[in-house]
Amino acid sequence: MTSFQPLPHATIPAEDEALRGEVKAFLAETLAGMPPEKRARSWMGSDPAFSRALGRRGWLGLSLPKRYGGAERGFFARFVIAEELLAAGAPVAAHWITDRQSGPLILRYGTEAQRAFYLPKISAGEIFFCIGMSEPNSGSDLASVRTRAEPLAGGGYRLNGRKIWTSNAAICHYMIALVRTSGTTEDRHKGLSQVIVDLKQPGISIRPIRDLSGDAHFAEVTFDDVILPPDALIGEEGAGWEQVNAELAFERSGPERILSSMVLVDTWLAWLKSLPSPSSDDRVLVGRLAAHLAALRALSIGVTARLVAGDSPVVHAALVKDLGTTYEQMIPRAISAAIAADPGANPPDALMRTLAYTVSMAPSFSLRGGTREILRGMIARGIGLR
Amino acid sequence: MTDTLIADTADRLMAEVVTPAAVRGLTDRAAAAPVWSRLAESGFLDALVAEAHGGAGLSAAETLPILLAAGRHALPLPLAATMAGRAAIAAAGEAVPEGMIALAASARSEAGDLVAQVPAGEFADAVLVPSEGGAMLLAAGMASLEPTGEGTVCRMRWRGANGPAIPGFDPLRAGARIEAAEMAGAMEAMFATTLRYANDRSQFGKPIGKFQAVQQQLAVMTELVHGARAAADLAALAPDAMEAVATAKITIGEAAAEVVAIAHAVHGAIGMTEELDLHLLSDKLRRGRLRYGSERYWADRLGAAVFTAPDATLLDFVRGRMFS
Repeated sequence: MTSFQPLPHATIPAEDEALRGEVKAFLAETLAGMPPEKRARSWMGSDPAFSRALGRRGWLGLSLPKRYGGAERGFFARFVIAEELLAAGAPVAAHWITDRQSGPLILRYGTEAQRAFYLPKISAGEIFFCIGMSEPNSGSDLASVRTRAEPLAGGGYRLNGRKIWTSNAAICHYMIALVRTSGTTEDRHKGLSQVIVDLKQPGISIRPIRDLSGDAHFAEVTFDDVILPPDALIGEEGAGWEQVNAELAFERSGPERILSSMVLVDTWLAWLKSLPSPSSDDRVLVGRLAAHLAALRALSIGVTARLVAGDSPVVHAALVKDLGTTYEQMIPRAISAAIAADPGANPPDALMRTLAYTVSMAPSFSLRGGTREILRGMIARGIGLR
Repeated sequence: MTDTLIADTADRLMAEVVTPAAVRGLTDRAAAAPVWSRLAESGFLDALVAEAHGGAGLSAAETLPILLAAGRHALPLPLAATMAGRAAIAAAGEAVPEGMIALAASARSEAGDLVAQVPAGEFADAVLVPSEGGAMLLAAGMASLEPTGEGTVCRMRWRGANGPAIPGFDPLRAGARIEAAEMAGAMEAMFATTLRYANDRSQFGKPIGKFQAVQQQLAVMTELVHGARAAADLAALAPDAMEAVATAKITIGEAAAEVVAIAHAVHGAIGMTEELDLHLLSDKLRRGRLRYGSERYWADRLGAAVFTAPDATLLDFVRGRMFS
């Protein structure tokens, strides 16, 4: 893409759209009474029992083949379910990354034995994966990772190093880590591989890190002479960089890059609707929020259609994520200004707590999954400037 | 005709006829006549007219490439308005007038006169003005013209206005959708021009497009242009839905302001010259934002619709009104 290549307009197939009603009904029952400030945690809030309940209903592993316990439904079925889970603020963090990228990654790059072992458990919501990418000295510069899996003479690897900002490591069973299997950090993209690490093995310590809202979803994971079996390697040795980038296209374009502030929007709207009549300013803001949501949704559906077609729409995914997170960050800013436009306003406490949480977490929306600056660099490469 | 065929035909025609020099010369009806006759020969004018009435019976979505091409070439004439107007007039069983048809954004009575704000009214042979339950078709020759002198709208005044009723056609909604689509096209052209300039212009010994600060701005422009096209698609697929048209006018209008700012920032001083064609596009986008209601007007209407809708969530509203 060296010039403007629009995403073709796409629509969600009717059979996938048909899943929505059932999911809505399940969520209305399951989440009844959960306060908005909890639901605002969106895909950062975790509840393994909730994730297993989704697995029992067949709503995990939607894109995986039936022979691995999946639903063989594809990306649009996942899109519909993801939208409803996120709009409702369901506590999806335990399975989110596993379902979104680990499962598809294992399906695409795993051996038959790896697929047969992991995928049915993923579809059932029995095992959860975290992603070991960032390290204390490797953030945006991911190719500089130092965690090392030294090949052993008799096969397998010895793993040493440290991963950080690993979401939900404490409740996960496995990590898919990007590690160096040969060469040095000078070799950059060469010599990197992905390995599956069973987090129960000796030599692994997991230290939770509290975020500024008091939650502890982050962790630092240290590997001290951890012995990995030969089949810990996923995909090809040395192809870790390409594999990680393909994985990130799944991560970057979905509804979770648009809907992170939606619980706040709906909580605010519910309050406004309870008042005699909205101000003109509030109406205008609500209209803008609806318009941008619609345009972003059209783009996200367009990227999903490209995933369905088997493409790896790296640049389109990056631009949807940057636009989407800009929208997610605009929401708490604009709603703060709207709520306090009248110093005598008396908004419900739960709305104010939801706002406080969303305002405080908003900066992370454009950090996780690739910072704004990195994404814009990728787009610049896509239009031929690099 | 397929989408690509329409797009190619429209692009070729506009490139030949709607040149920057021609656009600069399009100041009044007389100057517009030769350009218009070429556009009229294209066969596009009756593209939206139902086959039963002798047209091609295409949909708004199928003819979107023509609007995008008009935008890319900064066409100031009401080609798309004429297409929409002819289809509506034919559907109402009225005689379709010759020449250009403009769509009025508003109409009010003033001391017995009908006064309408008409984008591109200075070129028009006929005007569809909003009236009870739809529109009324008026001859432009019967009106006195009061152009603003800056090209956004022409105030037109009819004494004792009377013309055929075109029920169910909302000139404001159609105008907003068309304007937004042409703006999306203009933004594409602005992006292409700016990208080319960033590759051609060297400073500090290398093309300015190699500098990260410039790259980040062009990346933002890329995002905005993609978003604009997606919104134009949504409105073209649901031209009768106020919500989809509002979405296009709001998001494209907001993006246009930013796209123009980035294009000029990257071009530097040369972008501020009369000689460069860039300002034809900036001016098209300036007019577009002001015509048929700004972002604020449509956001107010869209917001009001959210407040009266029974939907439990904003996502439900958006899905139900624009994606079903």
